[in-house]
Amino acid sequence: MKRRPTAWLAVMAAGTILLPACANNTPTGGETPTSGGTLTISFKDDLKTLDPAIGYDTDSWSIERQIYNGLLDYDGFTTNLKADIAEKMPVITNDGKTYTFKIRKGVKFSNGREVTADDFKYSWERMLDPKTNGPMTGGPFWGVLTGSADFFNGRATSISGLKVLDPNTLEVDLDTPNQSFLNIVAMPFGFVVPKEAVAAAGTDFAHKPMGTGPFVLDKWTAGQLIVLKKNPSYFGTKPYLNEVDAQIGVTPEVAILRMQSGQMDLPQPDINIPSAQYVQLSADPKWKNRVVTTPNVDIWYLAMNPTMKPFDKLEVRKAFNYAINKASQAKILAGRAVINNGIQAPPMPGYVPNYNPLGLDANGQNIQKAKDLLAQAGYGPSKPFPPQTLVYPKANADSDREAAAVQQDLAAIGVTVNLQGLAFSAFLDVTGKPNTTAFSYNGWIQDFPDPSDFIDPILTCSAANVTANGSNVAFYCNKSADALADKARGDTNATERLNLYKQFQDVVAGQDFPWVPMYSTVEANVSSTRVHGYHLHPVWPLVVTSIWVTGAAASASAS
Amino acid sequence: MTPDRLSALAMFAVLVGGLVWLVRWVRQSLSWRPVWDRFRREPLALAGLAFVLVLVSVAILAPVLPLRDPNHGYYELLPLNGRPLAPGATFLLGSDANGRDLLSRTLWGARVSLIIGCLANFSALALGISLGSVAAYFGGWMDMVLMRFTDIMMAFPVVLFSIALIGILYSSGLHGNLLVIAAVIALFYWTAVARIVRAQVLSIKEKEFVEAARALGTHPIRILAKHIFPHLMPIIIVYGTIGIATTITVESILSFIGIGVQPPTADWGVMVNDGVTFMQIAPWLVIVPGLMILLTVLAFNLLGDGLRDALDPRERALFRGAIGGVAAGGGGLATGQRATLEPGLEVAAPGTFEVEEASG
Repeated sequence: MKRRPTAWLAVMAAGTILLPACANNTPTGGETPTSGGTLTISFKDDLKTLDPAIGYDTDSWSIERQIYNGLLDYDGFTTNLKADIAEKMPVITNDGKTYTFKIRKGVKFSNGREVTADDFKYSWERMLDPKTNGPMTGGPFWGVLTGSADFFNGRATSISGLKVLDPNTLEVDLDTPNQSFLNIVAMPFGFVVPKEAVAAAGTDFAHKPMGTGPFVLDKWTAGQLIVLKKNPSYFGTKPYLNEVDAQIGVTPEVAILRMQSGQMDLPQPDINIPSAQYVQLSADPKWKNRVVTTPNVDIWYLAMNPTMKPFDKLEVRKAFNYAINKASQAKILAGRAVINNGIQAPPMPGYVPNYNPLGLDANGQNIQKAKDLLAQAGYGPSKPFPPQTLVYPKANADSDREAAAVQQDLAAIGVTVNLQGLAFSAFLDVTGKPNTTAFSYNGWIQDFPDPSDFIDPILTCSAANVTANGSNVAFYCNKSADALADKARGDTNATERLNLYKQFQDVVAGQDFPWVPMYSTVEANVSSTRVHGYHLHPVWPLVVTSIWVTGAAASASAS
Repeated sequence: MTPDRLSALAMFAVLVGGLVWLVRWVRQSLSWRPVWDRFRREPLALAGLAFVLVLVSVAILAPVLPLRDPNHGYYELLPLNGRPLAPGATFLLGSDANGRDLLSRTLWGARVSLIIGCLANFSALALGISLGSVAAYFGGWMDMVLMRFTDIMMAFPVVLFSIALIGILYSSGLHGNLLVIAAVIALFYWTAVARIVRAQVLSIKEKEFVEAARALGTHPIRILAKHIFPHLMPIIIVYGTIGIATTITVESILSFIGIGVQPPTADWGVMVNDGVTFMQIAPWLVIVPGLMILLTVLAFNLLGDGLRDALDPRERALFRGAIGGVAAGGGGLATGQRATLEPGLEVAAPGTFEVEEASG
């Protein structure tokens, strides 16, 4: 096949960025990418939505990434931002409160119309509009925009802080400076959508998406198959692939079996492969080089709601912190977990290595102290600890085992725990409502690589002040800790900022204990031998533009 | 000694005592001795009996045996990558991915399977015998109504309907309850028994001694209990044994698909379900409980076969057509086979029962 000059340049450029980031991935240097072909991937459940104003899970984001663009994107596989639809990085003035974006000329939606600054104002207001019912309405992240408060409570019909100066210039005003604002802009919630397509789709834009991206949605057979086809008028670096087929309703175990028989390229690419399959593939000489791993920026923890009994007692929450065997949890994940006693993940700036304020042993336990603390709280043979229900999401075979291990650990200190496994959407419902769930097993994965992402949406008072769909599942609110987070948010001094976040961690994980932090995971994914150029991105669940395929097509049967 | 172990030993003592008493009684009984002699000459039947006895003993004695806690996960003994341990020195039959002892779980799982199997079987027998004999004895519209009801229940696909039923119970927190599972299995199994019993009773009720009792004015229920019921013994014995095989199979299926016994309770069906994901790296997790289900079902079937042959070798062929057609089809549950037994076709019972006093 003839090599197009632009493709070759992209490979050279990407190569310089990819090499350091792909430290633990199999090097594919020396191979030349070929254009064309179809990539077959799988998802266990049907996607909830492809509307970027609403989607907030790895499945939706995996596909949205291929259909839309925003002002900014991450550079290659690094965590540095670069301009995407914007011509260059924005000009920041007014002490960090005004961002001026210049929009590239010639970027077209897939219906042929050119993108303007008006489209961004429309898309962002739509995303924050209470009528759209998206998760960003009401303040997390975007509440810093001037005029957003009035917009949220209906006193204004548009956001005054979003100003269209001319068709290619957008000015964004903030109430207070926010060091992670550009990361917020790069989130899929900032993707641009054409208002005529939204109007034409009525209420079904989620299933009839249209954007500016390298692929367009060709077909979505509900519950069965999603087909993406290459967008010939894409403004950016064209992808190598012609088509992406996503088979839906395939469990991870079956997807891996299909991959081994040549019917699948990337089984369940946006989540970790199940432990049993990971152990099996790592031991199989044919497949062990196809497994790629990267540390995730996440934290998995047990949330204890201090507003609900018996977790209102500090001794009880501390006792639970001494009782959980975190090494067992790591074994259940086939060793793909690092014990973590804090709230930040290892790759995150501001992470404190070997953080262990309670002096726990190598398993993360001190069983005697746990029993002593329960006795101190007044529980004993005459007053047994009330049975608790641990609510957990049934994500895959490993989730049941993780919950069962927690149950066993707490039984050893005299606490009876009943397990309640729920489907993920039901789990989000019950843990997101105040006064509903006292004890739950949770994970938080970064939205963007900044320590504020692990604090503002999940541990502040404003995040606890919701009636539904909350992410602060412990409903933790400590005003003095909040003050630290507020101060850090706009602090331009990086060292001081990180220090303030470390102090916040000390309050949560060394003093108040609304959580039992357990571990951070290592992501492992596998690809078939047809796939080249597949790397795990630090932020995006799936990047397809670097992938090319060779050899006979995967016999993609949509059955 | 804990109450668990005390009651286990007591039950075992009762079992052994009961068996000894039974064997001695049978050997000196004029009517049953020939049955026992014929049974003793069938090696397969004896093998089945031996396996069943050993299984039941082990199940009863499980709290007393030196076994590890079947529900405790010994994570500290697992390697860092969480790989289940192969059979060896630490764990005789290996461990599962949670570090639980497979040998211990297998033996404790026998209790659950046997309890549910026996409960379900017993309830199905009680229900089937009552309905079948009442339908046959009273005849007329009662017969028609009861038999049509039986037809309807027989037409249901058992496993699918159990899923629906237990799914409803899930919300009320009753899922995993042994009694409920046994009740659901019994709900479908009684139909096979009812049909056979009805056919038998239809033929027995025409006999002279029944007519005589009726003429004396004996109450119908007393006739059923004292005169007709003893003639059902062969069927009860055979169904009592082969039926357990069927109910254990159905219970394993329900646990395997996740609506029977709930984890972490050890049960063979649950163990197979848990083990399937690890089958390629730890096949013993599926082989051991699967083999136990297979051997148990086989043993009960051989035992029931042997009893049936011993009870009447002359009518072996006819009897086989009646009972065997249902038992071979898995109790008629999975295949929906209907036993056909023409009314009037006698199943000869051990000699003494034919001579009967027509007392009231």
